[in-house]
Amino acid sequence: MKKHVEINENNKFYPKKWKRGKISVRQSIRALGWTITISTLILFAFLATAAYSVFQTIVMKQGIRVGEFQSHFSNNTFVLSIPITVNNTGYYDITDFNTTTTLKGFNETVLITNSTFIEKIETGSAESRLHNLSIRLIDILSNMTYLLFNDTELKIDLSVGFTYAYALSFHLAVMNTSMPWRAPLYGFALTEVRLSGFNGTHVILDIFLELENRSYFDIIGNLHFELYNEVGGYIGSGMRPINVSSHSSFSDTLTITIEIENPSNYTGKGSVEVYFELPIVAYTLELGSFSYG
Amino acid sequence: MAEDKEKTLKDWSRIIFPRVLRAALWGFIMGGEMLILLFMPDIGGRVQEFLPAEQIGFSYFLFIFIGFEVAIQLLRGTIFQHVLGMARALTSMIVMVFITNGGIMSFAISSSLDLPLPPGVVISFTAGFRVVLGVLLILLLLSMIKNLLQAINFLSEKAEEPVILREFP
Repeated sequence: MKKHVEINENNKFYPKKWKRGKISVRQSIRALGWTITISTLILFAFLATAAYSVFQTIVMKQGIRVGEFQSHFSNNTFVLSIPITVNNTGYYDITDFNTTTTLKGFNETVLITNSTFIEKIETGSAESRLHNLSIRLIDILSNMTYLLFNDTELKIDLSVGFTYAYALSFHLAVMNTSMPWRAPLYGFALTEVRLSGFNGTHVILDIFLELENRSYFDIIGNLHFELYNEVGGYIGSGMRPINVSSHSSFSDTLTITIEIENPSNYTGKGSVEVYFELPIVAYTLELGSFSYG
Repeated sequence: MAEDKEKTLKDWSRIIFPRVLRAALWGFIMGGEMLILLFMPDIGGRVQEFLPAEQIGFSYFLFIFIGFEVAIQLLRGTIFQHVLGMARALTSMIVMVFITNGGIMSFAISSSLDLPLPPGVVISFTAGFRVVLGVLLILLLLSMIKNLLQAINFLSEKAEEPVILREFP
């Protein structure tokens, strides 16, 4: 390699230009090294203090408290309430605090989900919220009619998430907590349809009805009857209100008065189609056809 | 005439032994103590209950990091010190992203004797630290650049060392 050199009296060759820039390059590299070292130390110090703070706040001092489930039923809506308190005793702010509950039915189908959000809980402060999960029975029972007649287990997922120190995010989920569902029309049965009277304008039918309301809400609805003769000719219709209180049973004979609209079709025997109209279901339930006469 | 003296075994041991000592010391400082703690039954067992070292590869990461540090100290004063420094920074970046799953780690806690849960209930815990991981990756990248600059500086200094000519008879 050709070098630009000069010879001195000791026969030693030196570069002609000794770059003074070498010293500044070494200093720059050294400064970069120190910057990296100090930045790494600051980062690890932040990580250590944040981890210690969140552990102290959440685990040791129970900074996040989820109270007992409370429930009430009104206006065909079942409301599940969970009181949540966040007490931030740590060194950094808690932001984007959210609580989400999800109600799942059979086969992990999501029925209802709701979230409560707290934007910021500064260090040294506390916030409380009431997280509500409103379950409109009409939304659930309209799509899952089997819940009217069968007891089952619904699943609730509860999740809590937040960001700590604007850099660390945490999310805790408790999944598949069981919530028992008790059927409002358990053991529903319409039997013994008997023709008990006819006066030319009305037909009187006796129908034995039994059901057990195991749910938390009262069953208030109307039974609709459509009378036909043996060849399917329409005769008339009638209605009977039903009111079965929560956690009670009904087992009795109902006397149904059918108003005759087509007297010429009446033959004394045929079938009666029964429908159940319930406010908690979006459509009228078809209960089947029963013979009389 | 100055003749190069051939180095004896004693000379080599004077060169190698301090390097080995320094390498052992720095290897201990840069991760050896963590590795010892992990393999202690009392402390390591508790850590492994929550964070199984095998599962997240943390102990393998420590082995790699300590290996690099020992090699760097043994080859101190050569170009390989800086090359290994760059390789260590690059490897650390890749392993950190791989171990931490991109800065999001999830754990599922099932029913056990210490924490009895109703049947079917699962507790899931997720920790996200992408911001911290991002900053750490930037610092490792800067470390790689620093080692590259040091390697270039080393080569340029070697090229500009004074050349001593032998006197011809």
